[in-house]
Parts: sequence; C-alpha cells; structure tokens
Amino acid sequence: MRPEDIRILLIEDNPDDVELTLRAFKKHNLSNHITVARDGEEALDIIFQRGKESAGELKHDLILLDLKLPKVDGMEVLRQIKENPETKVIPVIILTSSKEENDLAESYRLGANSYIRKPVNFEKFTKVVMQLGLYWLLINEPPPQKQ
Amino acid sequence: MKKIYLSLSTKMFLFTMIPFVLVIIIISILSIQHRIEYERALTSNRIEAYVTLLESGDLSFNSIKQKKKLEKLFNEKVLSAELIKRDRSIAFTTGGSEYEINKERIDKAFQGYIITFTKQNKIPVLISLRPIIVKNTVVGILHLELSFEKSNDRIKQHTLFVLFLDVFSIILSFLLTYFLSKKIILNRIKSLTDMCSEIRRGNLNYRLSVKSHDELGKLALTFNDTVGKLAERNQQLKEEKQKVLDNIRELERYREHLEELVKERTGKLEKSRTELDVLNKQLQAANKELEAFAYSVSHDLRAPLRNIDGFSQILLEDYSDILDKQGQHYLQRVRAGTQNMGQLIDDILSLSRSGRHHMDKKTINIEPIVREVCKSLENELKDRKVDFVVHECPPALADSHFVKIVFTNLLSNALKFTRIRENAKIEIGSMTEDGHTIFFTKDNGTGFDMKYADKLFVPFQRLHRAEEYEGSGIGLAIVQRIIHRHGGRIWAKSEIDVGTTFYFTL
Repeated sequence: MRPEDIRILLIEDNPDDVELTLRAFKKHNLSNHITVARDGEEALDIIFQRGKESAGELKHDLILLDLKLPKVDGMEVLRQIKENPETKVIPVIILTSSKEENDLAESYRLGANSYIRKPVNFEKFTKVVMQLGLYWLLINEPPPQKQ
Repeated sequence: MKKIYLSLSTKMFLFTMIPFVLVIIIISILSIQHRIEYERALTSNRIEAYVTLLESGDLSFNSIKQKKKLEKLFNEKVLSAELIKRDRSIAFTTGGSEYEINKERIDKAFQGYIITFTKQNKIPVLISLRPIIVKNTVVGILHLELSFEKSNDRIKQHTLFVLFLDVFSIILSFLLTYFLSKKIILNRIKSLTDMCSEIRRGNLNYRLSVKSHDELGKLALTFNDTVGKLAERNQQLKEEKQKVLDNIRELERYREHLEELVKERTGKLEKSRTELDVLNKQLQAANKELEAFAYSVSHDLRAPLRNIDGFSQILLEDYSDILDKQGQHYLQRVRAGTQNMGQLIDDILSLSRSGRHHMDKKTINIEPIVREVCKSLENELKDRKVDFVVHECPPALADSHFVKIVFTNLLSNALKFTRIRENAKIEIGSMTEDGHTIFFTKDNGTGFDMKYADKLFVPFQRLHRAEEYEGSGIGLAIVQRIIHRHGGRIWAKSEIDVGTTFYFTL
C-alpha cells in the first residue's frame, strides 16, 4: 500500500483544524482519500454505511478521532467502532486537545490504538500525526481482510 | 450442783427480810427474858421490904400467919409462910407447906439468902429462905412459898404482845420491802426494759418519766439523753438519707435532661449531617463543574491557539515572498505568543490538578525520590556543572507522586537561579525541630529580596523579570498547594546574591 492510497476518515468539528490537518496531509503527500465527518453521528453513518442499500467492504484504513464532538461524542464513536467486529480492526488514533488522564485511560480501555494530544505548535502536531499514521498503515501489518 | 437463779426482787426481799427477822427474834427473846427478870426482882424486892420491916420490929413476927395480908403485900398467892427459929422449930406458920425443907437447906439458909424457882402442877412457884437478922444475930428464917402465877400471866401477856409486835413489824417490813423493790425499783427497771423494747421496735420518741433524782432517776435521765442523742442521730441520718435521695433524684433529673440534650444534639447533628450531605453534594457538583471547566479550558482554549499558530505558519510558508523581514518577525512573535499562552494554560491545569487529584499517603523514603529527580534534572544540564548534595532524610507519610512534583519544582527552580554560578551547589536535607521533621532545599543562587517573600507562592507572581529567568510563576504555587494538602507548611529564607533555602514539613 502506497501512502497516497491510504484512505483516512478524519472526524473533527473545528473547520480550522480540518483545514490545517488536510493541508498537513497534502504537504506530506500522504493521502488523496480523506473523508471528513463534522460530528459523531455523521462519522457513525459513514463508518457503518448507514442509509445505504447494503454494507459494503470497509472504506477506511485509518480513523483520526477528535473526542469533543457535537451530537455523539468521540468516546461513543470509538466504543461503537471497537464493539463491531467488522470495524474494530481499523486503527483509531485519538486526537484531542485535552490531557485529562481520565480520557486517556478510557480511550485505551475502549480500544484506541493511539492517543495524541494536539500541541499548540501546529508543526509538531503535523509531524506526530504523520509518524503515527505511517506507523499504523505502513509499518504495522493490518489484519487480513475478508474476501 | 444445780445453780439456783433467784429473781432480783427475791434477792432483795431475802437480803432485807432475813436480818430483820433475826433481829426481831433476838430482841423479842431478850425482852421476854428481861420481863421475867423484872417480875422476879419485883417479888424479891417486896419480900426484902417485908423482912426489913420484921427485922426493924415495925411488924410483929405474928404477921406471918396473916396469909391474906401477905398475899396483898406480895401481890401473889401465898402457898405457905413460916418462921423457923435457930433450933429449927417453927415459930409461926400459915400451914399448908407443900415442900419438905430439909435440914441441910435450912442450915445453908442460915448462912445466906436462898431463893429458888420451881414448878408445881405446871404453875411456877417461888421458894424463898430468907434469914432474919436482928442486932446482927440471925433470929430465924422466913420460909415463903409463893405461887408465881400472876407474874407468869403478866409475862405471858408481855410475850403475846411482843409476838404480836413481831408479826406486825414483819408483815409491815415485808410490805415495805415488797413495795420498795416492786414499785420503786423493779417497776422502773421494767420501764427501762420496756423502753429498750420500744427503741428496738424503732420508736425513738419514747421517754421515761423521771420522778425521782436517785440513781435510777439518773439512769433514766442518762437513758433518755442517750435515746435523745440516738433519735437526733437517727434524724440526722434520715436527713442525710433524704439529701442523698434528693441528690439521686436531681442526678436522675440531670440524666433525663442530658438524655434530652443528647437527643436534641443528635437531632441537630443529624440535621447538620444532612446539611453537610447537601453541601457535600453541592461541592461534588461544583467539583464536577470545575473539572468540566478545566476540561473545556484545556480543549477549547487551546484549539484557537493552534489555529493562530497554524495559519501563521502557513503565512510564513506560502506568503514569505510578499512579507518583508519585519512582517515575518512579527508573525514569529505571534507564534511565540500563542505557544506561551499554551504553556500558561497547561500550568493552570496542572495547578488545578494538584489541588484536585486523589492523594495516596504512605510511609515513603524521601531520599530515593530526591535522587531520581536530581538525576533527571542533571540529564537536562548541558555544559553546566552543578554539585547536588543529598543528605540523609527520614521517611515521611506522603504521596510519592506529589512529593516528586514538589522536589522537581524546587530543584528546577534552584537550577534556574544558580545559572549565574560557576560552581552551583544545591543541597537537599532535613532537620528536626520540636519533634517535627523539616525538609529543605538550599541553593547558592541569585536569591531574592525577603520583603517580597509573601508573594513567593502566589500563582503567576514572579520575583524576576521574564528576560532574566523564564517561567510562568506557577511552580511554587503548585508546591505550596501540595504541601498544604499534606497538612504541612512551606517557607523560604533568602539573601540576594547568596542563595535561597526552602523549608517545608509534610
């Protein structure tokens, strides 16, 4: 899998953050397939392909999840992803401004693969995201997909 | 031998009566004897008087024959009277002599007077042989036989009278003794006994009536007095008992009052507890709110900062050709400002966390923690040479995580302010004062003016200019909060250009 083929679902409500993140990805030539969900409900609809005729194959290789979301919050989205045997194989990286220990512990308990606190310095942030994303997608062998 | 117990009255009676009766009997016998003697003496005196008359010649010897005259003279019945001459012939006689006077007796009578009492047919008889002396010559002997019947009757009468007197006096003394023993002594003793019984029955108001002032009267008085004292004592005891009972009753009242008080207090306590519960819930709610606030500060305040920084960077990257050096410098300043604010937000959060997080107090060794902190700080030193001296420290009851934060803050401060020294020296140790352990960190750094000591622990309060020493001024506020949460105390001593020492207890 080449880096540009990676399909990423970015779940983030802040449009500025979305724009900055997209720019960072583009700059590093990481992915041309980025879907953005603006709240928890939309994210779940996309992940579980609700409102569509039938559930097809998984459309994303990596999910970047902000914890603080409108409607359904990030923790709930994470829970549903990791409860579903179909979706739980997708690596989920938690992106949050919070450094609360409770959030950290709860995220790992629910099965998050990484937890990143967004630094104020955007450069650092982009670097971290890239490194993690690459780790999970390129270095780490994903589980075999059902044919 | 069986001992005979006599009653007191019997004893008294016997002791009084026996000597009395004996004396009466003796006196009576003596009196009767005396009467007999008297009667005899009377008769013999009369005979003597008659003979004297014969001897003086005032009466003729012939009068011997006159029996009736003689009887009148002697006041007794004359059985016989005769004059016996020297030649033993009878000169004059009344005749009827009952007794044969033998010669020997008559001879003897010529020598001296012979008088004899005898009995004839149970009647006492006096036989007198009296010599008659005329001119110193015994001319004859007067032989008289007198019946002593009249005298005897008088003696008998006297005896009867004496006997009567005896009986009378014995009866009288018997009665008197009886009265004395019974009425005067025994009855009073009995009344004493009765009183004793009464007292035994509990009647202490019983008193003896004292009529006389003899020994028994005194005894009764003493007894009354004793009983009076007893009654008084009894009364006192009763009063004391009453007092004790009163006290007990009062105690009972106090107890009831206390119970009420306890009930009331318990009620109040219950109410306070309920109020406290409510307050506690409110506090918990407030805490939750605070947590939510901290969370949103952490999350929401940082997001715009990130955006400012991000877009500033985009400007720097994509539009550097239209921005001159000055513009680029300003953009860098904007980015530095955002990062500074990010740091401030983080500091506020860690301060809030130091007051909020759960504490796990255990007995821990301070030294290893200090050494660990020193080591991690030494790693950050680049070309500086710092001498860390860790003295021996006793164990303390504290949360190791928080203690580590305390030492990290204090020692990084010490490092920061010893930057100016060629040979920086930082000491960590402890001392004991009034039984409390005081820990200290001492540096030879730049120090501060003690007049600002009270501002040392105020959050965001800095004693040095930002250009000189970086930092947000939150470190010591966090340290103080942690120390306070441990129930300890922290203070500092400093001198400009000499160094600063922080002291704290846990």
